[in-house]
Amino acid sequence: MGRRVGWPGFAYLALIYAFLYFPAVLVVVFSFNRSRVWAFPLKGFALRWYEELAARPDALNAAKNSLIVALPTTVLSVLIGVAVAFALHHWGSRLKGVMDGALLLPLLIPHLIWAVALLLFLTAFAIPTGAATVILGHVLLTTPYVVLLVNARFHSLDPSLEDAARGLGAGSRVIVVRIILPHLAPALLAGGLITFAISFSELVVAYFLTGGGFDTLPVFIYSLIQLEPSPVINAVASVIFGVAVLAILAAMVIGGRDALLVGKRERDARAE
Amino acid sequence: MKRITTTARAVLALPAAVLFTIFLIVPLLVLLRYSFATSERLQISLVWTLGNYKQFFKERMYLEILLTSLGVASLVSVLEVLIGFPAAWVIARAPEARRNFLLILLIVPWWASYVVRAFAWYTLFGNNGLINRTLISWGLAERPLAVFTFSMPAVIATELNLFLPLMVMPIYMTLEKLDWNLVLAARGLGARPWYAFFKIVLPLSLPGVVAGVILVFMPVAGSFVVPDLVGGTRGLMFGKVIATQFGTASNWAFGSALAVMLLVVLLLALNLLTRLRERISGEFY
Repeated sequence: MGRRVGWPGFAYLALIYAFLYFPAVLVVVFSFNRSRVWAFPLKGFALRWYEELAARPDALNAAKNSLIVALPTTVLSVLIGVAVAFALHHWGSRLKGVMDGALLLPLLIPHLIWAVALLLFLTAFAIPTGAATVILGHVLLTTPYVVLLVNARFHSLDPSLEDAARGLGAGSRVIVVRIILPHLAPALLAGGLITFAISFSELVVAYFLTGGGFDTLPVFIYSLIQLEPSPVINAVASVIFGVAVLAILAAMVIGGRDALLVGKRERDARAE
Repeated sequence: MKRITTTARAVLALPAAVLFTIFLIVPLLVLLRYSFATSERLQISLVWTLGNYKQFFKERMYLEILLTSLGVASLVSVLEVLIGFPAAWVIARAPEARRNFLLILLIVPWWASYVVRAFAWYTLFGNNGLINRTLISWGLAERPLAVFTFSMPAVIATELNLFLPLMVMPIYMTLEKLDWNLVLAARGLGARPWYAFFKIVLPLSLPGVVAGVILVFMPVAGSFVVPDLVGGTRGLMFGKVIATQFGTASNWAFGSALAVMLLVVLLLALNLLTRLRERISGEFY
């Protein structure tokens, strides 16, 4: 191995991480600050913004709506994603390349374009916007992550296990239930948790597809910023951040390396 | 070895295929169709006209904002490479036991907090923002400083912060599997560290750099939340112009034409960058 980087390297990395984290830390810190204005010095610890938040019916409703969207999105994305991954398993590499590209496209094209296109589509076919349409939009955005995760997990499945089971007389169903699914379980859980975190904190698609009457927490934040900016928003944002971080951390722990490097191309996985 | 049948495979892929066709491809076609229509207030007439596109090219403002947005996205991408490459390098050279921890630390904010971090930058900037108020209360400034108001620098700083993990990750992946024996061999043959870096490490990690540029450039060029929150009147981006047409301006047909323009430009950029990446990978692997 070559020379390791010394302390200057790690000092630089510490700076980078400080840059990455200070905005979120700032949001949380000011959610506990007594003052109404965002400025240093801090004016002392207070829970008033959380109390104000808990007393607002519209906030509680938005929290409920966020769950109404995120939970079904999670279930649907995992089911659809796993089905696709199964179909891709053992598939010819040329078709796989096409699928790869198709899957990545929703991740690369700005969400704004998908959101307005979906809005036009729903309007053109007179489909009312609401929880169902937001769920639909989120399923489109998150299914690719599940497919990528489960795909990567498929590659670490030892093919001889399948052969051995078959040789011992196991049928397809037994192989799927007893060998493949248990092997995929961490990827399914991690994919579900990542999907939940994305859906729970997604703004743009929800904003365009909510049609006014159905605010999720991020949409609620957005309208508060425009109508009545105050540290109440810090409290909402801290809640979203806390929930999402917990979900993502759990996904990382359960999913391991696959979850961490979710965009990793398959040929890399094979080369390892 | 017996494999799952074609029928089973088709059935499994069906939900996703239907979903992605109906709700991604068809909406894009609807978007394209509406870009040739006219709309007055919320009333859309499905005529065929090039009026929206003519308006786009006639009123210079729109083209200028589109070019500005592409410029901002390019600038952000280049800065991210400069900031992110050393970070990816340090993570890749870290002891193996610590690497996963560092990667988790890197990627968690990306998934967990787009809105939260965008909001944080909103509270930082502005005449009454955290930075200006704090500077004034500490006596470091007498009135709000222009750099820290809602403006293009604020947009760039925020985008840099939001998309950094997406640049570091792919660069890290190429550095991780780089064969260090090549570097050692070069050093053994008398190459200076910088020479070895530019002749070996940099060319071999270029595919990762291009992948990072793709992941950063595309969403930044079309971003709407960030310019809306911290751009003010001087940090206008194309995404916000599109959103305005679908919001307060209520000109859906023109908004569709703007969205189609952005989509076409971005797909061209994606095509170029992907081809570049493939060429680089082909040359060095």
